[in-house]
Amino acid sequence: MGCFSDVLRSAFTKCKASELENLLKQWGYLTEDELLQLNFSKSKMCVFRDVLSLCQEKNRKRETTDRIDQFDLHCTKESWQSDPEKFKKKLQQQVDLYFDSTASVSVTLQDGALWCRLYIPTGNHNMNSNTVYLIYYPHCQCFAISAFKVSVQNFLFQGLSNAFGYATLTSMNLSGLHYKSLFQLAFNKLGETSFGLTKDVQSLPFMGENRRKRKAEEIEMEPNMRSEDIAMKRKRSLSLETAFGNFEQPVLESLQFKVEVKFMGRKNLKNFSEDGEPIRCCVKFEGPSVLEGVRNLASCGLANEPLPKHLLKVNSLGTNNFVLKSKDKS
Amino acid sequence: MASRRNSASSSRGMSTPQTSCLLKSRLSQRFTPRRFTPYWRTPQSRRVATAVQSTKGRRKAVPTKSKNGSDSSADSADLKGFIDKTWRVYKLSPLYKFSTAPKDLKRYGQLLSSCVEAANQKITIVESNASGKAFFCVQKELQNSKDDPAAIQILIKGRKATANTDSILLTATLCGVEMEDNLLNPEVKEHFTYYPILLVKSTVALTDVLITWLQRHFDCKISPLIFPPVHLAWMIAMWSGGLANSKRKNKPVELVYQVPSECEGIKKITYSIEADDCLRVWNSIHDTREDIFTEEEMTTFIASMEEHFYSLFRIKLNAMQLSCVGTALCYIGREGLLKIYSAEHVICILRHLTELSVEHFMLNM
Repeated sequence: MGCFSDVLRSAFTKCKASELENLLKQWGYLTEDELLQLNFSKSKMCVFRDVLSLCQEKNRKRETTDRIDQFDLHCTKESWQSDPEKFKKKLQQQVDLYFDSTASVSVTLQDGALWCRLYIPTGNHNMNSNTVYLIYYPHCQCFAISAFKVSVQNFLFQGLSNAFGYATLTSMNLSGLHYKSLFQLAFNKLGETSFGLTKDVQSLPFMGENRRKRKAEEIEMEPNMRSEDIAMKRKRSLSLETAFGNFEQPVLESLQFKVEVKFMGRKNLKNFSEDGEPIRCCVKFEGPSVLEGVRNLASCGLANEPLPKHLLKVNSLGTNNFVLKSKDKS
Repeated sequence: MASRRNSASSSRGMSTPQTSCLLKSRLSQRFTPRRFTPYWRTPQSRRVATAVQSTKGRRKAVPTKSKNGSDSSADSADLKGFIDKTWRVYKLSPLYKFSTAPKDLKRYGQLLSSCVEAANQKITIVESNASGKAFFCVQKELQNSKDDPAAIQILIKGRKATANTDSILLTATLCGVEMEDNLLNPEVKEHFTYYPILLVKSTVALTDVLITWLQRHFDCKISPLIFPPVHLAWMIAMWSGGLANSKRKNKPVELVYQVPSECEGIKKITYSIEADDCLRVWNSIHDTREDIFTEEEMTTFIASMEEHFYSLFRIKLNAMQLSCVGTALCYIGREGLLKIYSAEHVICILRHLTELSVEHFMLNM
């Protein structure tokens, strides 16, 4: 179960101090009087110690640990329509089947998705590496999972596929920090939910209100300045709009390409022996929002249009690791 | 005005044409179109181009063996302490009254220890270090030619709050590899010792303590050695083929470009190429029999890599700046970060860094 003070401490370190009060209210374990007693203007560690002493006073250990696991879940992220208790029972059954009884499961419902926390101890006591987090939008064909140990992978996947009711699990090779964007990208590729092709895409919880239309780029017209290439700028912004669409791109932190093609920098090289062997290289784009960045590269003039297909189609391919190989002509 | 002029000339009796002309020119200076430019040529001290003979210029000799020719394996075994650590590189001005006698080194150790203790007491965070003792010692492995000053290693050992045993909190090396002889003025040479490079591996706080102590004690100036993109490009050209002949798998050659801040969303682009393929391209540009690399070869190499990238992604890498480069030998970051992977090439890399640091020094003299 993990010593509950450790769990509580790690949960406190994960969340921001300003959101602490809201999170504790959401958790609902401490009564209102107790909440009033806590002094949130002190440092996080002081609040943690106070909360710990309150929990110890309550003295209901088993329930306390369960509820603390839930708090950990609340803190881990910010935050779809299925009964969390039923799902928890299903998952717990599977976990008990494959792992020993010290493993624990905890499920909450937030923002239309089921958030699960699985704690699977495997000998070494470092708690963070034993915890696996899962996000699942019901009726969607994919789920997001945080890092897990290779040793538990087999059993974990078997248990999860039984719990979800699917036959096989395959990795989509898509990772990042902004989970809603990840689900958007995955959905773009898979295109349907278990209800069949949905006509009304906007009703899905991760597609809804968060898609903001990007601000129209205003070409500044100062009275005394003349721009030489207004026509070119207009043409460029139009073509970017057709290529990328009107909405903001989903947020990805990194985009990686493994390329194996013939060397194409031979313009200045006289002696390059053309033996047909490809040059292997790996390109990685990193930043707060890479897909927006690719669009901005084109609009800043750092990239020439038309952008290649493999950059334009990232949205619909459902992964952020690509392999580009030149076609074998033989 | 007019009356005064007349009286001046009349008081002298005879107005010489020169004085009258002089007076006239000063008074009428506001009315003439010609500007008052006393210098007709920029003085020697202000001419940037000829102030220093740039050693980079068009050609660069890349000696892969040291001057003494002694590259025994025993040396490389001792240099293992330099590899696989992330060093910060600093450049220094000459140290005043620094001696390498053991008695003095011991004294420096005690002084630095007390400085570290004082700094620890100022820090009020819970997890400060319990104690810190400094040791200075001479490192013989780096002394390659007789002109080099003896390399000094500085260690600070201490105990962290959570650990039970002493551990090394800071490792630093003061060195200069294969420097030229007559860098310092002969009159002041006996009082000053010149170490071009300081390598430090430690936390920021301890590094600050060490640097402040050195600056205060030896009256010198220490600043990070920054590598502008041009130098990084040279290093790629020189070292990308470094371990090509060995049979083990080499790390790929890595170029990290920083995207300018107007383009929001992407911070950096990492472009890594397999070492063998990189070497193929380099060999087609550079004649392997020659030891000298030219600037044209270097620019052609980088340009052809960037062109390959452009044909794949249509993104212009030549509009962005290199911020870090990595080869099989080492990884160098722009802000003075260094990580060496190969023990045999430590001397070669340090020699190049010494050269860069000495160049800075000469430019500022």
